[in-house]
Amino acid sequence: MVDSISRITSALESARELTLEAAAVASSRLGETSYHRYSQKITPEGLRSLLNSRNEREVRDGMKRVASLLASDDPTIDLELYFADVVKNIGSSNDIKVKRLIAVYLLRYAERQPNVALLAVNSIQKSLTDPDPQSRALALKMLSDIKIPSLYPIVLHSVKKSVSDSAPEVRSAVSFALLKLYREQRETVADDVKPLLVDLLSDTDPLVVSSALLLLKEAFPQSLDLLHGHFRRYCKILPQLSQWSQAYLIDLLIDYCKTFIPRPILTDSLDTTRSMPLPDAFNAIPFATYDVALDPDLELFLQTIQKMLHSPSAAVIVSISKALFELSPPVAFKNSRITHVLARLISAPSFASDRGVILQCILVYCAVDPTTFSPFLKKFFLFPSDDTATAVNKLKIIATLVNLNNVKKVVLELKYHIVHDKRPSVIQEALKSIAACGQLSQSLSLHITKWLLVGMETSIVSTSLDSYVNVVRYLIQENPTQHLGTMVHLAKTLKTEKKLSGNAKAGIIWLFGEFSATNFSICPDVLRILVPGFSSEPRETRSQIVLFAAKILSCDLDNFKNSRSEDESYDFDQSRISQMAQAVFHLAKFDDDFDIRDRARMFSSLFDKQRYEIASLLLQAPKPASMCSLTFDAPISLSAANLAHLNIDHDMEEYLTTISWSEDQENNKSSELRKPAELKDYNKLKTSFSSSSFFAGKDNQRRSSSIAENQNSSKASSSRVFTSSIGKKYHLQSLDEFFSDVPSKEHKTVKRGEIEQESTSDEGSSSEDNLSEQESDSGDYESTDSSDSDVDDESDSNSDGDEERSL
Amino acid sequence: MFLAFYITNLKHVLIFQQLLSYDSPSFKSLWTKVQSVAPESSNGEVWFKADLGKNLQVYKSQSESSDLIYWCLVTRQPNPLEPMVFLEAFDTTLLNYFDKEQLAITKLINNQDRVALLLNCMVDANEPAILNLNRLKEMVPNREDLAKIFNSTASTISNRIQNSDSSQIKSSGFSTQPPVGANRTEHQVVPWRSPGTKHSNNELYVDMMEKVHLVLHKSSKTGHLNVVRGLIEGAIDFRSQLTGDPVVAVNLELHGHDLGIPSLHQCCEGHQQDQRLDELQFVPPDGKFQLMQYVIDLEAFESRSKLLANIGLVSVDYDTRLGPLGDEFEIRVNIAGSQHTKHIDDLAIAVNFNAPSLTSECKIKVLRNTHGHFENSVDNSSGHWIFDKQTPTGTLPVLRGCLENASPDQIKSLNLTVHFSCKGELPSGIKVRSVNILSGIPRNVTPFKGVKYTAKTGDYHLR
Repeated sequence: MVDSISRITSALESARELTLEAAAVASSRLGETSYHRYSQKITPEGLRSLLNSRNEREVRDGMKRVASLLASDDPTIDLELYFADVVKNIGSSNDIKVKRLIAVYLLRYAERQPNVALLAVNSIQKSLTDPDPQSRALALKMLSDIKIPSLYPIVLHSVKKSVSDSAPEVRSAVSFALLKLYREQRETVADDVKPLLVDLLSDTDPLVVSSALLLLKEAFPQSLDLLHGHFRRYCKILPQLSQWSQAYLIDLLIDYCKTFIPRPILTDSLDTTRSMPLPDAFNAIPFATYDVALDPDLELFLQTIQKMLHSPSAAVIVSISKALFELSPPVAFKNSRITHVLARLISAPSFASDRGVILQCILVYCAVDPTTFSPFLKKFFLFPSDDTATAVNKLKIIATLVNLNNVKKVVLELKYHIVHDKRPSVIQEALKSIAACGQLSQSLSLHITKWLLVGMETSIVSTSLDSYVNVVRYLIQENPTQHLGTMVHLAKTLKTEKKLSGNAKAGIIWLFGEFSATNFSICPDVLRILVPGFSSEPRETRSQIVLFAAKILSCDLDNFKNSRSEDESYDFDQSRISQMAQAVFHLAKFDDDFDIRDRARMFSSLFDKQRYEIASLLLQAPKPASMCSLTFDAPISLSAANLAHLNIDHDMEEYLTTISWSEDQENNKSSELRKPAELKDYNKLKTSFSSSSFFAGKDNQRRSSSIAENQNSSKASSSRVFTSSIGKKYHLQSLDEFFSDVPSKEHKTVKRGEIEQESTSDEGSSSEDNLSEQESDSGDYESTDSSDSDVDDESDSNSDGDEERSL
Repeated sequence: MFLAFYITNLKHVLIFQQLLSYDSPSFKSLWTKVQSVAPESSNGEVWFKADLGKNLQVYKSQSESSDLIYWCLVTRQPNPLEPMVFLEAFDTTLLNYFDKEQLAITKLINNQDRVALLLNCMVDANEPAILNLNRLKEMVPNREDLAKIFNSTASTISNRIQNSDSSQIKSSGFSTQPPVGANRTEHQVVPWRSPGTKHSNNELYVDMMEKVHLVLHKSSKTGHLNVVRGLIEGAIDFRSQLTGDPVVAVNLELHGHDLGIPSLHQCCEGHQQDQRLDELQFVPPDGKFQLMQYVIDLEAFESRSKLLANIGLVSVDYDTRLGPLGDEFEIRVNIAGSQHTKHIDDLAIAVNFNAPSLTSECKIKVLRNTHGHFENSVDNSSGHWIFDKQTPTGTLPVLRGCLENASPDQIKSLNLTVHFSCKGELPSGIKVRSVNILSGIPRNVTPFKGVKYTAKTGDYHLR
């Protein structure tokens, strides 16, 4: 019994083995996971045989495996070895998916196997004439992706042929191909690429313009003159371009406007005789209120971008803000509502991961002119889930926006974050911001230092103590006379606080050194407390003690000199201060750190050789503030040097850096330049009738009542009047007409181009021609029908001949 | 100029990579390099960029919905937003292409070829090329797998059953055949919609989602809750499966809110002057897309009561320094009653005493709680009050506890983080009044329409 069961199970087992593979293949049609499992089991040899199979399905399975190997970075199989097996499928397969997968493979490996790759070129070129525009675009893409120098002339040739293709996606692929070509060959192909670019820029299809703009931006960013003839049209179609190109175009047009359009003229509205051009620096306008006279073209551009504030792309919004910031006067920037949109983008905590970058942009605007974003101050208060970069930038912005009206709220909020936040860099930035608040008034400064001192005692995290000391130091340095109480408190802290880090302690000691000039009395006592523990202090602190001792001594010497007559000399041996200083210098001579030894030697020799003036110059020089404010005091133009202290991302810095308006002669900027250029409309080459294109026809179509809408949309099927893209109307013939007039009907259905030409020629004569043709030899007619658009001339001559004959 | 793309899971294990030339490094070598260049920032942050060389940068962006990290290697960009925006667009494209709320890692691994094809179409000449989802779907047709057919059958059946009692549902197409592929000869009416789209089951759904972000500060003097930050982040997702080129009108009941300048999908043509936010008219692209994204500023309201009326069903208050020793606290939750929903989901309140403590012995002890249960965390000074999966509306749960051996400062530092979600009603009260198809759809077709409201909390914080 048991035996038979085991036999049955083993039989089942083997049957299972046998069917497993087949089952896997079968189930692969059903679910992805099982397909993936099957795909994983393909062996290297099996893969090769799949790729070489005649069965499309197997080739496809093979290519899928190749794709997943490409994507998963599997080190066990070297895909380069399959190059020939993969690439040969390009000609044999009709499946566009397989072709695309081959394109992915080629992109990566073609450079490595130029010889085999060249073999594939022929079949790629063949599909350049494929009836399907997608295949043509793909072929163009593949061809230009193969980076082999000997191939470039062929690519250039194919590109030149495709630039007048009827399908916009193919023409758009041309721009990308040209970009690839230009990147490889640079100047050598520039002369070939540029005229093609001019053609592409004057295309009527937004898709093509989008990609052409990319080419312009990447390859010829200096050739802004190419935009002359299209400036007005681009302003109109800007909302229809792809999101990327919108941002590119806005950036390009900013530079264009600055080069080729005269500056806006500002007139004082109180005194109309006073006027000036828009200055480079934001806010450098002397008038209280002013009127702005914009060039009509500039106005068109600014109006267009202001309508695009609904854009979902953050990059476009930032570009718009940049354009408004640079090209329009401050009042227009504030009124443009772009500030609302930027504030919206950053207000929610989880909107987008790029908000750190947007915040940097806002920071720059705020630093230049805080009034731009002051209504949105609350939007920059932190959320608990803000990440570090966002929090730091928000705090910086708060520091620029704070003023006496809102400071109370801000300080309350900052205090909360200083106490409760766990991230050192956020605490540090919050402390810096609170220091900026302290600057606003003396009472605030006192209040904040007091609060900070309490915080210093209770704070546990030693890393943030450094920044506490820095801020206190900064606030005291700003206004030393007010802070005697604080200094006394600090002296106490120095004595009692055991957890202070070396840096923090050094900072406090430095502060006393500076303070000695304002109020000498408490300083010697501080030194007295410090001397016994000198050797056990950390390095930074020791170094500061040495400096402190020297400062006090120098100060004491000066005080002595000022209070006594000229001839009396300072008695070094009797002076307590001098003795303490000497003790410190002596101790320092045995220090581990050579820098401290060196300093001690320098200071003691200064005093030994009686160079007191040099000592006081060295030691009592007024110090600049330890933190500089983020806002600019005077109007400035944005440049890398000016933005440096904001500590923003260097790319952003570069992006926001402005160029100045060109100072060319006015005639270089005349609006004559922007006379609309001739457009290339390839719609007429299309093989099908098109109802009026969406953007042209939509306004009257969509905005009208829904009934009219219904009629309009059903037009394509029921109405007999077709409107071509160039606006001509054609009548489709009724069935009766069709039978009564067979050849002319055939004429019409064959080729679009033909109809075009026919309709432009005299209607009556052509019908006469047709009639005469009908009467005469029909064989002749057939031959003309099948050929291309220059057929008409031919048929004309034919019919002429016919007429002669009939005459 | 993009050089390579990578997708990894949160532990930086590679899921997908596409190298755009032979020289591009594999993720393994990139990762070692990134770790050496930016060791600390490479781990925790949601996004970052790092300079790898003079002209080489890497951008990282974590997906908002899925547990994925997107990376790209680029040459130096003048505008640092570009790669970030592209990575985000890539994420939403993948989500919408596979028609998921969340991308599972296995889904990506099973579809590595498809992702490669998508990326191949999206990037040409190492620059972003086509990002229009409908065109991408046309270029890389998605496979209708069996699961989808099962799902759609099940959902249509359940729709049919619900049909009688739901007021929002009007009628239902009842067929499960996959849509017929686009016919290329027809003319494209709008650039974002493929021509000649045909579906046998016509349906359109409007999903409205609002997230409440609120930071309240309890004043120690007056005991009032003051608003530090308050805003509602809303999004309208639209999903359409309609034949032809329909013009859809969505009428919104704005409930008196000012949406400011929301971001609108390309199809709304926000640049048109006559587009009204409460009466949007547009030709939708096929499939899923985000119609609108808006922010309502709650700080703009003058009165606190008006603000509290707009934060959704749950409001929370607390008191500290109660009891004979002054170390007790009480948390009161008020779940308002509602006509539209019977319960709220996944309510949880994190209780945290995060003042720096000098003595570590303090411990939260729960004295009494009316609903749910309380979980202490390891550090003892924080815990979670977790409710059942569904809490009925119109209830007033209370939790009373004490913090043993705590300093007064610590008691004062109590702060709460509230999480919940709720269906059927939006905090702001915004509603879809109607969704009409004005034209462009065959006459005999009556599409199925559905509206869904979801409310969620983002940063809901009391301190």
